[in-house]
Amino acid sequence: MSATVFSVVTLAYLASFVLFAIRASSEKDTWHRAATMVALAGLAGHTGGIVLRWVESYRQGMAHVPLSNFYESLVFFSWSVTLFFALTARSRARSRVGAFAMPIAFLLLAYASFSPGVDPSIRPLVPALKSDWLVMHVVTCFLGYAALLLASLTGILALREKAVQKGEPSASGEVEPAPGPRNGLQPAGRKDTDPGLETFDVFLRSGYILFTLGIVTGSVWGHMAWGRYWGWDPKETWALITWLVYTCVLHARAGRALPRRKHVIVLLAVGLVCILFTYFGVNYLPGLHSYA
Amino acid sequence: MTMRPGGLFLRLSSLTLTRVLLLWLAFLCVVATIVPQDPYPSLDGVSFPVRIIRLLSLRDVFHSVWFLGGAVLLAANLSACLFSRMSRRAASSLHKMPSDFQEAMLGQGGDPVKVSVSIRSALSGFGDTRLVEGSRVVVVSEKGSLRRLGPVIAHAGVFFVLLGSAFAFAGFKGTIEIPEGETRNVVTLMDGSSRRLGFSVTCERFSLERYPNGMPKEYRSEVVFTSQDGAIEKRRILVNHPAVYGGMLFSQSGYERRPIARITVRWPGGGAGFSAAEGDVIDLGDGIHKVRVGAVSEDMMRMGPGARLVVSAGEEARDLWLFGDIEGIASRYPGITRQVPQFDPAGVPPFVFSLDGVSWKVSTVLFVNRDPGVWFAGFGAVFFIAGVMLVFFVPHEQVWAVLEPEGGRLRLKVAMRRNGRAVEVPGELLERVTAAGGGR
Repeated sequence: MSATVFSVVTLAYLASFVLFAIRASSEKDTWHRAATMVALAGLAGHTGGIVLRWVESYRQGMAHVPLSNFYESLVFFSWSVTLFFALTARSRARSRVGAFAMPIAFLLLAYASFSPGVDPSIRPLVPALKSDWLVMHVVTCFLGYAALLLASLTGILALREKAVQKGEPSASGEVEPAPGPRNGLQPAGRKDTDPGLETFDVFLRSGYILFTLGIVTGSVWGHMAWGRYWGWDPKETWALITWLVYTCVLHARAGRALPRRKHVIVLLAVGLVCILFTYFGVNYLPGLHSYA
Repeated sequence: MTMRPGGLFLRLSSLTLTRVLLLWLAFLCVVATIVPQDPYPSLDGVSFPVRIIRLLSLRDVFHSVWFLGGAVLLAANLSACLFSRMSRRAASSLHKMPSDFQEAMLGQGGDPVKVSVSIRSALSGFGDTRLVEGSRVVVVSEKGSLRRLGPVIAHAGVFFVLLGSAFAFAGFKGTIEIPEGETRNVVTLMDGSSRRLGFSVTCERFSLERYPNGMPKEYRSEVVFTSQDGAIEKRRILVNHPAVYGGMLFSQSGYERRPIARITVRWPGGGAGFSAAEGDVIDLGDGIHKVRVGAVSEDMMRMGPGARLVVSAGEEARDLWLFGDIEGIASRYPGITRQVPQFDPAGVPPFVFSLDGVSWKVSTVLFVNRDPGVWFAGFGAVFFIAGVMLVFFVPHEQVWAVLEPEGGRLRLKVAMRRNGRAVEVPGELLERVTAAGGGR
């Protein structure tokens, strides 16, 4: 039953993506509203599908949160991406977030729903996964993946747009006011920050803290399950690589002596590749993390 | 006291160095997942020059000088940044007033100190205010000052994690395999060497539960720790439920199921029986003969239970393939014990061997970890997250309101910094300050 719900949600995400694509070539806000409504309806159905799958696992006598295999991880990853879109649906950069988020959410869910290589069956948990840390680790990691993925995409676009504007030398996103006094105690009325960069910062900060929590909760779980908090398993190593790259992005945007914007864009692109490899690529390396 | 930073200190506390080191460590991590790793080579008998070469090698990236050197340099960079930041903070608790301020002449003159009292009261809701008097009156209001500690706490956290990782080198990791009902006090380390525990561990019972579809459901070891003075502690170890004893963490790592051969040996005037698994060596008690068990199987060569033995006497050794049903085999294949002498249970005179049966013995495999740095790493992680949360979610805002007498009137200047950067003063705050100063 939950699989049918996810199939319908996949189509909703596709429709939302198409509407956002039309919105990109049209100034009419109607397209944006329609795309958002479809995406939010899809998210509601998606949430219902996850709850339904949880109930199904109870009915089958396994009773575990649907976060324990590759299929369920794809479903939750897709849900996380859509959730972040929903959280920024009222921001000034909502259209560009939707244009990035919805195709990703659609592809992830389509892969889970329609790929013959992904097994959707509900199976009992192996002993290592029977832990309260499963939920904390997987939820924080996938929310972190989703936010960092969107941070990279929105950041690259926003910084590239900045690069073609004049008098915007900083990669920090904040506009340094011109020196000297201005007469009158009135707000100048200009914006301090670019909406695209504001959204990028929100994603970057949320993603970084969530992904860090994901690594820390994974370490605690590893300590309990395998007897060590860090073992240089390929998954752990690539999570660290991703973390190091985004730490570098944060330092590039936090310092007083800011690096060139191009460098930040390159770092964000590298971070994007790292997330994808940490999730998908590591499956092709031998390790203890049996699924994504 | 403020520190006057020198050239080396400046370079060490550079943010560019931080970025380079982070990317260098990330690059080495990538290398470690591409180049096949040999992380725990045995160093017994390895000469010093070869050890140095190993340190430079990429076959063990995480113990190489490239990685450890990068981590040490990152720790030094963090320490320098922390020191530099704390020195700056000790020198001034406030940022410099931005040069970009908004100003106006107030409609009335008066004592700037008296006017400043109203402005302080207008800013009091914003946060702590303080008054600085000189040739002019400056009211400074601040909130979220705790955020300034955020970077220090976060970086101290990373430093603690690195310190914890360094302390881990003073510990050890290994496995201990204990057959059910037996006791062990030696752990096999990751490089294959052995280490005495200082106490003993007995596996009273090991159980493996399965789901109806055959998947493993639970591994459970009932163990008894016995200290050198005889004190006993019973513990239950399951996956995700380790036991701590003697400063070591014992986790359920797996299990082994080995066939055990029950063998009887007879000789003129005597005999003995023993149970042995693959690899066991049994002394026959005459001071000369020993039996090494090469393999034990429930169905050897499709001829039922069997065991391959090597019976040695000094330099001389003979193979013996022992079958539980040798009489049946001999009746099916007449003369086989002559054609294949290894099949002859009396092939090593004066002994006659017989295999009484094959049973299974289960051993629990526990992962043993003594890591003196684990608490440092844990505290470091908590510090780091707390510090990052402060930096990300607690804005530090400072508002300056300057009153300067000018031609019998008062000039009011207002400026604001958020997280150290000059920003526009919000309109509502601006109006409040102006009204308090007697303006519009």
